[in-house]
Amino acid sequence: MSEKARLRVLLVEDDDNDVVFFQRALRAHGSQVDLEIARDGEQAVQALSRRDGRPMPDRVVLDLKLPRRSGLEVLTWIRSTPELRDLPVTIMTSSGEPSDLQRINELGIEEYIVKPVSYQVLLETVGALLTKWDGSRP
Amino acid sequence: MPATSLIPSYKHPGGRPIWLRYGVAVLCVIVATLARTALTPSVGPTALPFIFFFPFIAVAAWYGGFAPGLVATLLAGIASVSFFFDLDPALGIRLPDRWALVAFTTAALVIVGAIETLHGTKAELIRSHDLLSTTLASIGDGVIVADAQGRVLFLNPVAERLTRWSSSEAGGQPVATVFRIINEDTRQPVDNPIQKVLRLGTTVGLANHTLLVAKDGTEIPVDDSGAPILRPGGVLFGAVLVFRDSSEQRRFQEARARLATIVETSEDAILSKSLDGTILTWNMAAERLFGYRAEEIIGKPVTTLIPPDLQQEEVEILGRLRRGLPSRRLETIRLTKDGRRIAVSLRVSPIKDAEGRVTGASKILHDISGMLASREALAREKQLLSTTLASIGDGVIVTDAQGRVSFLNSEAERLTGWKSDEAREQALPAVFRIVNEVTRQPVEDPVEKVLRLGTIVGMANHTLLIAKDGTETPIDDSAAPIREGNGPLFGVVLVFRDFAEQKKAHEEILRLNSDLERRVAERTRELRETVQELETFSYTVAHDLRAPLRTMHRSAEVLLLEQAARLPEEGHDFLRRIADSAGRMDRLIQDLLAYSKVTRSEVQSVPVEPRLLLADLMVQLAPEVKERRADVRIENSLGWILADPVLLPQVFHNLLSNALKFVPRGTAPQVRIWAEPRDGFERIWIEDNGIGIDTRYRERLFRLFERLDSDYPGTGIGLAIVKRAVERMGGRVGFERKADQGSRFWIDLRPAEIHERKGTT
Repeated sequence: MSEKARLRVLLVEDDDNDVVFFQRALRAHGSQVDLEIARDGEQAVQALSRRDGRPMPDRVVLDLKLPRRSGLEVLTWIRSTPELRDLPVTIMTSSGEPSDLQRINELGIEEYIVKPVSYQVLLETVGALLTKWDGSRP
Repeated sequence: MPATSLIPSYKHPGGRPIWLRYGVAVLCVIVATLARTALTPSVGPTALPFIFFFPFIAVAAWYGGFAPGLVATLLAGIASVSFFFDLDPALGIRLPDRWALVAFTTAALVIVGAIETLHGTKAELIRSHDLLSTTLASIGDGVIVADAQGRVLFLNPVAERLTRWSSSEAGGQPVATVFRIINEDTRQPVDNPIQKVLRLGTTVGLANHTLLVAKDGTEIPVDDSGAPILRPGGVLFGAVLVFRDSSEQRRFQEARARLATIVETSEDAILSKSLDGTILTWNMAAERLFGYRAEEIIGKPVTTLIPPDLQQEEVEILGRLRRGLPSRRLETIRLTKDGRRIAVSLRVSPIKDAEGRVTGASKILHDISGMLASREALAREKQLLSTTLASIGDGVIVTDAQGRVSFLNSEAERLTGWKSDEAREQALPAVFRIVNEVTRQPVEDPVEKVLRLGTIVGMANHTLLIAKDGTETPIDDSAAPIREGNGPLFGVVLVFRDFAEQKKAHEEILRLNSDLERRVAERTRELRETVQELETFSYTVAHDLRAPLRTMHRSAEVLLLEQAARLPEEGHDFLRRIADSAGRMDRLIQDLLAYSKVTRSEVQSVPVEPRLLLADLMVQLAPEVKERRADVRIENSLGWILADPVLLPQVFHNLLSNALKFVPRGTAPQVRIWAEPRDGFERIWIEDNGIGIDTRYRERLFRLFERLDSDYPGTGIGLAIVKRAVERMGGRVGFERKADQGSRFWIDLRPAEIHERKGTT
């Protein structure tokens, strides 16, 4: 069996704290994840359009409330870009019911996660995600 | 016309001429003398001097009467003495001859007297007979006399006429042949009364309904009676039958009976009174009208019926009566037996006798209370109609079936300039001049159209009414036929109104409407915008508030998890406090967001099935249920209700969550959810075995931020959300304390009708 390649995840999150905790959670699970970070919607689009030889991320974890371009705009852009149309997107946001939920579902996402206030819960959630992502990797 | 005589013909001497009577008397004496003289050769000159004189004196008395008889006696005496007496020259008549003469004279006188008596008797008899004949001839009834064997002896003229038998023909016939009677109804022969009389010897009356069948077959109704003819001593001589033609009487009786029936059965009260006002007759209708029975009121004065204040009427009526005039028809009041006053119309007519004198009066009364009521109702209706027509805002013109005006109401008068009286009988176009507003051409007469088509007709637009004085008014109108039921048309009613006013009003309404619509749209837009802003605001606020809390909570957690060794116990404590506070605040923010949403969002009211929602909720709460070892029972009694499919789950979540949370330490929560109908709502109960709520706090329980027990976690918003959500769905919420431990929360929502429910939610 060949060695598993590392999971590449693009995290689109503007809150620094949330980034820190997410990274910690990943580390706590000892996973080998290549985490790319975009701080706003525009950066996310840039990151995905100009790879400069780097491989495309396997997953995108996308916050909805972002400066410059919103999470919905990014998602819309992803789904309308031919190469990225099937790119799996996980929404991780602070609100349970955004007004665009229907649109988001129409565009197609893998998971929708509300950012838990508790670190413990975050750990569990990330763990579940990793298990899921690992399992479905081609 | 003398009838058959009962005794032979007799001529009374008194009827003969005097000279003849005395002459005969003298002659008789002469003849007697000669006869005696002729006898002389046989018997001698003086023997039997009187012998022939006796018979001849009788003849003289017989023929001439008493006086000639006396004269004959005298002459006979003289002749006798002269011719047949041996006279003594000195004495004249010898003594023994004197006695003979006296004896002769006496005897002769006796003879004359006897004969005279005989005459008298005969005369008496004849007179009697004549009297009887005349009587019999002149009485109006028929008389038949029969002998003791029942054979006819005699018929009087009326009997002859009625039986068609003549007295002579009938003589000797059995009575039954001449007097044939049959029963009127059965046509069977009836026993002849004569037979009965002869048998019984008493007077007999006739049976009823008897018809006499005359000789020629004519039938006559008769009344009769029969009686015996008795000689002195009681010997039956025969019988006499007296009868009369009763057809006249019958007709009379029938007519009277008919009249009486008419009066009796009349529906109008009919009574008659004498001139002094005493009631004489009283028919059934009078009994009904007044309440007095005939026997009670007959004989009483008619004033009994008249109310005290109207007694004057009777005086006037009587006055007219005496003059023989019928009273005028009078509408007045009378009194019944029980004192009620009734409205009647009455007419009094005089009753006159054969000479035309007024002997009384007949009164016919008619209860007119119904009629008066109708009259009044009609007058009221007329008044109502009149007032209505006068006060409706439109002009009304009524025409007859020929299109001639019969009525204008005041508005029509105003608009046309014609007064109702003036306009009457005018043809409509004269009063109602209409032209087209634009072309100024005359417009078709709507009444004429209605009369032609027989249906309701509306008017063309742009019509101008030109009043009498030339004033022009734009009008709008319609005309309709006036019919009786489905019958023929008997007029047309034209209704029209000043359109100018209406036009203005109409335009104003349109303007106001569009103005209103514009403002409503604006308001709605503003509201929507506000709501939208609020939503965005809440969302943003929640998001931005929660981010720092997350960091605080997690930071504290991380420290506790990963760096615990470095901190003293007290430090751990504070870190936990940080985490808890942050967590609390986060929950608060979430709850506030939820509450705000409940208040703000548009609420739907659709049929939902609570059982399905609760099933979903149970899945959601499964971990907590498991952890607490809770027993949640959802019963079948939950039916379909009208609710919001988003809010209702929240309500259930909050209530169920509370039920699971607020239990005493160590107790496994037991929750039971069921429903029942109540006051037209469906009441869903959520019953728990928790810590219960003091009813003192009933008021405060559902308020925002109210927490009644700080031992248990809670933001104090949960129940406020429940209350707000339920109320926005049109329901009610409340709770009851259980006798033992726990509470029962209830929510009332409208049940969904069967036809509203869907197959699936």
